[in-house]
Amino acid sequence: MNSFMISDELKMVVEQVRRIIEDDVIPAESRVDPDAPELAEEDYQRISKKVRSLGLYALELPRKYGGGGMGTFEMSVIAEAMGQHRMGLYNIGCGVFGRHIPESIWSGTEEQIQQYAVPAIQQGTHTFFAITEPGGGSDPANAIQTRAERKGDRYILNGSKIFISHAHEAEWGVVYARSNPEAGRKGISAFIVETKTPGFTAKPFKVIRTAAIPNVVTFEDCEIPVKNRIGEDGQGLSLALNMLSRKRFPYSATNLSVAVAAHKRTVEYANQRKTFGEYLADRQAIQWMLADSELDIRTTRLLIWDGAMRADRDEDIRVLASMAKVYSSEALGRVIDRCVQIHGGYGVTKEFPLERWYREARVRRIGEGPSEVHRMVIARDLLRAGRDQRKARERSQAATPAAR
Amino acid sequence: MNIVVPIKSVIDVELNIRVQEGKIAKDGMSYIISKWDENAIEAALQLKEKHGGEVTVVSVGPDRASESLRKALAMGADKAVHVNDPAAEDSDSFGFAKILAKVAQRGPFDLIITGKQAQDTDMGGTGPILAELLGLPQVYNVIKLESDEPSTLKLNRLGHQGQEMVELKLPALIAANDSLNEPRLASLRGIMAAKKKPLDVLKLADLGLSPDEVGAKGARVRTLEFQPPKRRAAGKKFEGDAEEVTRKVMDLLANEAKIFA
Ligand SMILES: Cc1cc2nc3c(=O)[nH]c(=O)nc-3n(C[C@H](O)[C@H](O)[C@H](O)COP(=O)(O)OP(=O)(O)OC[C@H]3O[C@@H](n4cnc5c(N)ncnc54)[C@H](O)[C@@H]3O)c2cc1C
Repeated sequence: MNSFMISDELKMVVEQVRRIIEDDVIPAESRVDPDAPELAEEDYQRISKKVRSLGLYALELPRKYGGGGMGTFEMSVIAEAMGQHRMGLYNIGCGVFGRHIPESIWSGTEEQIQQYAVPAIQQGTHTFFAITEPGGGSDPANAIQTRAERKGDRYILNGSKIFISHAHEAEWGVVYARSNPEAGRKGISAFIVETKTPGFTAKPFKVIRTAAIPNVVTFEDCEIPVKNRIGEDGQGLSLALNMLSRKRFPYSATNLSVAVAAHKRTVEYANQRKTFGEYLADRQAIQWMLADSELDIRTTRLLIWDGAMRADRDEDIRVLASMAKVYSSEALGRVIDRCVQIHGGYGVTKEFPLERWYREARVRRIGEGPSEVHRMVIARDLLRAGRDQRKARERSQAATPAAR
Repeated sequence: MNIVVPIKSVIDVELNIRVQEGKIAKDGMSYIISKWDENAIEAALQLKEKHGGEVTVVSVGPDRASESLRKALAMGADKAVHVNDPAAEDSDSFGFAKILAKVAQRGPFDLIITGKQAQDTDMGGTGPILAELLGLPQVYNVIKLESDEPSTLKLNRLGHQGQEMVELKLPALIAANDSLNEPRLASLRGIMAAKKKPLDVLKLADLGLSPDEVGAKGARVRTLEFQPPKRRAAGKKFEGDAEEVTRKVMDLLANEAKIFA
């Protein structure tokens, strides 16, 4: 494994990000309800303006679209600093450094990118990504029922989606629908859908997570121009796969960032809190929890950095991306659970961010592919060669009649 | 207006400080620019933006000090000088001032701006000694700075009883209080430009100094021991009727903590 070189420039960018989080984002966060999904609008505008004036806005966006042009490794290191605040897990940097948009749009035409992607990023508007349906999210190839029927230069969308984050506050999103019911996985297409389209409704509902509120979305005869299809008909599920894999590293680094923030507080707390006349820090039961969290954090970081560097070298990182996703989300779950325990009652009050991190961390093991699906990807890769050999053997045995 | 800003790279006080053999452990810590030095850099950049000229930042320290210098270059300073010589380590304020005086004398300058003290030692000795060595007037603890013409500064300094408004003819040395300004963050453009700006690395010999004049050997002030702050005791929690609790807390503050004594 290569050793990791963090350039002086990257260190400085991280330091500026950390200062904006500490000096601007966290104080603004303390002025809204502990469950609030966003900062107050004037705070968001003020901080975001400052970030833009420093050239630190949309760091991952390619330079030709006005972004910072940072690579996967750089964004992973930056995300570890950017997520260290109460809303950090599902609203990283409270959006002042730019917001996430669906990756699949980058497989679109230059016209689609200019019309939808670039303005959304530059203006910091919300977008949505709609794949999950009531029939299931882990296996979209089978579960998607929403129909996209071609009529001349339009597609007519009918059906419903569930758990669609931000759909009620977005201007557009990417919707996956079945355009050819006979073609299975290859019958699904992706469309850019504007929320003002007649027949589109988004109804928010409450979950354990209070940021990025999810919605039930329904399409009733929504007319979508063919020019809003991304890629070819039937290509939906194979769009932007490489990009999706790469993005798992900064995503995983966000899990890491919250684990780091929670752990740091807890280490300090153990040195302040006394029970039965002794500091928590002097109890072996507590020391072991802290040591385990430190191990979880360091292994997560290595896994992310290694994969992210390989992504920047254009190696095949699909399996490493699944590993980073599963490991970071589960490590976060373990770390935050210990942190809450060590804080006792204070771990679950809304005075501190631990409670919110604890709740929202649970979603990280379900969304973006549950742990089991990513383990399936890892195992499939491990077993592929042996299984192919086994199948070949079975075929040749079937071809030659038994010698008896 | 040519301005020299000496900066010190100090341990990030947010982190837990470790003590080894009576000294603060230096390895494995993360370092930042001492906070008052950031105010000094900001003041220098504002003067440069107004009157033109160059800002040179100087740091005496091991390899890691170059990170702080790059940071200052990223904020907008033009040049950096890094005195990196093991013999300079463990200098006292007098030793550091001697080195900085030599660096300042390498070129013409109009003004030296320091922080009012370093964030790690809180000593505040280097600036005044540097002014003395260079025969410069000095104004300390500056909280407001104006300059209509490049030869004079109008300054407010914070004294014990209030503010003093002074006019200062250059060349001179001033020391910044943290309320002087809001240090800027480095922009992405500034960060990328920093690596192309000149950063001279010098040894003591380059400055005509011998190793026994400075460092531990030349030090007249020697640290005998370092005691870290005591661990904070657990807080006390009071519950119940607000009035009753207030009375109880006031009583404890007055008679146990003796904060009004
Ligand atoms: C708060 C929130 C926000 C979300 N936002 C979005 C969004 O914006 N857009 C979007 O499209 N979706 C979104 N989702 C949906 C999310 O992606 C799905 O919940 C997820 O893909 C799982 O789908 P499911 O809930 O239908 O569970 P199922 O697919 O029914 O799976 C249930 C469980 O079965 C197990 N499982 C599944 N497959 C296997 C297997 N092969 N082997 C073993 N076990 C398996 C897993 O434990 C899984 O959790 C969001 C979900 C939540 C909770």
